[in-house]
Amino acid sequence: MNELTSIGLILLLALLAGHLVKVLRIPEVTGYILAGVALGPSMLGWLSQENLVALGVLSEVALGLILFSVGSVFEFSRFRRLGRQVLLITLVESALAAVVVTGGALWLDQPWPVAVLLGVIATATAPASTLMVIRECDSAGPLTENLLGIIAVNNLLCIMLYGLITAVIDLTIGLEGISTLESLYRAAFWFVWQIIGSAALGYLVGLMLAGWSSQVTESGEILILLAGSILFCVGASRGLNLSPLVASLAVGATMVNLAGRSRQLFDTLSNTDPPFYAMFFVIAGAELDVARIPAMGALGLVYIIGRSSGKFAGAGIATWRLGLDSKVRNFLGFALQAQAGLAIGLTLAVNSRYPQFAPVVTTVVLASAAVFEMVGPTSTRFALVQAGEAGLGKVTRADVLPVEG
Amino acid sequence: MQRQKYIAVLALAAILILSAGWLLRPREIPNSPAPLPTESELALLARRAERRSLDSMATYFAVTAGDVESAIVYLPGAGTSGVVWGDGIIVTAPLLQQAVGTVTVQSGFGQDRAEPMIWGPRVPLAAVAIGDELVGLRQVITATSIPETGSWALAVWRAGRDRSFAPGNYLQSAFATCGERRVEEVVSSLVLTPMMVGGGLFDIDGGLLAVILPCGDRVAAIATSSVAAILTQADTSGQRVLARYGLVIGALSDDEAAYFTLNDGVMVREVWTGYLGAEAGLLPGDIIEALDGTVVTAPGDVQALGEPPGEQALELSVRRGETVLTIVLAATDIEAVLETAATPGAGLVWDVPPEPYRIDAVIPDSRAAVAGIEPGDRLVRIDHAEPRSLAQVQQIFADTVTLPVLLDIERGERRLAVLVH
Repeated sequence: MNELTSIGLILLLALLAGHLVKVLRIPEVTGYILAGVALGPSMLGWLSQENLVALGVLSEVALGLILFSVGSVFEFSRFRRLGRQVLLITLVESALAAVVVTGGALWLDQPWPVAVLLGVIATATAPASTLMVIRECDSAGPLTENLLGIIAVNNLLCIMLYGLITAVIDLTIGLEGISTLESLYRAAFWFVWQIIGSAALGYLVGLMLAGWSSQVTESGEILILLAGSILFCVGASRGLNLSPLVASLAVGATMVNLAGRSRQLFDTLSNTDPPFYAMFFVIAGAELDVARIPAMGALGLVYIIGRSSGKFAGAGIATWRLGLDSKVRNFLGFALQAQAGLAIGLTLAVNSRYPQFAPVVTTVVLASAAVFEMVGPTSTRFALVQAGEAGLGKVTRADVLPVEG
Repeated sequence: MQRQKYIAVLALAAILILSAGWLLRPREIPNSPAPLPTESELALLARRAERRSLDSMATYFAVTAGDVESAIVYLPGAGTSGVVWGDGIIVTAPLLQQAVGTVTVQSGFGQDRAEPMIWGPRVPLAAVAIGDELVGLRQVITATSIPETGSWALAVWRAGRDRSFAPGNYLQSAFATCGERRVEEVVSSLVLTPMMVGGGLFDIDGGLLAVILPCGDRVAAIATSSVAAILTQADTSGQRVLARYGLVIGALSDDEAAYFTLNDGVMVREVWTGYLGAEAGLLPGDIIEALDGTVVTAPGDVQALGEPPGEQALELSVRRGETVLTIVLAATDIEAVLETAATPGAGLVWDVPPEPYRIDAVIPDSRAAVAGIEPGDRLVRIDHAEPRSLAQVQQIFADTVTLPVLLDIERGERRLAVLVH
């Protein structure tokens, strides 16, 4: 079917699935993802692989919007208050997940680069589905605040770790036709460029957005400004080989700190972006290869169990050490389970960079992402509801931002 | 104001970072994707892939044939192959009737002499024993299961030192007649030719399914189970005597003992034309009285005939009617037999009539029928004497006569002793 029909179908079925799963007290996000799985090539096949490639642009824009929203957690006043503990929790839970998964893979006799790559990918927590669940639950409170901070830092950390690890692998196994010095430079450059370069781009775009927004009042114009900035940011990142994820985060972070009317901007966005998100999750679901789940084998199980237990244990230990509220301590682990976009993106990077390790990494990560992405949002919702934070926020996501003054 | 300054400195830094990064970016690793293949290239690719898979199939067959090669030998004298069946035993096509001497066996590495163990006119195969001289041989492994219809089967045989093979598809196993025997035959899509005789039919894992053997004027793949059964049955003393000398020897029945007025004895029941026994001058109805000076009263006493032939010729004391003859059975050498054949029992070279009396029909339940005479048999002798006239024959068989008579009957390539009473 052609792209317009696909988009229409995606939106309608996403809405339908969202309604259906609400009855089961499952987050709408899961409904969208399940609708995607059903429509996608691995099941009904109404959405072909070609459709998905064509719709990939929409998906990227949606991810840019989501990370732009997530970037708002890097507000100075909030970060001064939460920064240290968010950093510590993220470090501990990511490190534990990575160590447990790497250890498990080594125990199953995987080559060390495969084990370490799986470990690094395991650290990622899906920002999109987590943020969507927070919005859907209208949740607010210490758990929600920490969670938002963690998913932002966590993804940065994952990208940095991936950069470091690929540098080490490149230096050890060497790339074809490249001297050691050059591969060292290449690895170091990629690492710095992905983080610093993307942040620089995001800062510039955010600066422009903040400056221009003070001149624009009408909400329609604000929307055009926002959409234009984010599209430009994602597109420029692609062109410059930067990370759209980090750049979008940086745009959000810059704007929330510089624009006086950031709250109005985010409000405007949240009123218009649901179709994008619905599409994003349906496409994400369609790209999940559920047929791979049985093929993941013992390594896949070790990955799933290792990542879950690492995140649970890490979150538990860090929050206990920080003396946080028991609600945060008990339920933060549940809220960190979702995994999708970044993990799949890194798998694609592994595919093109290390074809020799790609089959194992791809199978394990894609299969487990299918599991985590279907279970994760429900788990997050469970955490928010149990911690008593669901429904405490107002209708919009902007409310999870601290009230100024 | 201070804040504005920071923002401006940061923006400048960001621009510098992006510019510097863009300028300093590492060169692209040359990884130009190949241009998309055209339709014809794709078709060619598919054909090549199929070709490759066919090639690799042929390679697989060659490897399997190479694996079983060490279990296949060549017998230059007979011009057939042979399968290393068991410990030093080779199963091959039936040997020529008189080829009682040793035969040459050739493997991929060398050759050796082998002693015939089992062979004979009624046996659709032969077994020969090889010494330790022939290195590099390996016993065949019998297939563990019946292959599925349509699965691959591989005929492997030798032509001299070179191994040949032909792949085909297994169809089924069925019972069929091979010579005088019911055997299990393996039917495949392979056209079995005389040059494959003595080779093996293997499954895809190199397990032996059948031995390729002649059955009359056709070539058949005889299942390993039938080959094993034939080998067991043929490995009896009586069968060996038949194989070596063309003789069927048995104890006298009560009627026969009465006819010969003997208490017990051993009679030559059948003599096969062209064998050592016939060449030596033995006739059906001869009573063996002594073997190498030892008195013979029971078939067990002539077991030495079934033993592997030694250097020495065997001397038989034979009573034929009223006469006692000394007959020498040559040990192994066919030339020796032909030489001695002229000198058995002096003066007893028979003047066989050009057309012995042919029996056209046998009335059911008649004396002749009960005795085992069949239509088509030819009457050679009556009571050790050639019939003089048809009248004499008719008189002997007249209903009024009830005396038992010993007939010497020719049936095909055999002479039989039949007692009619």
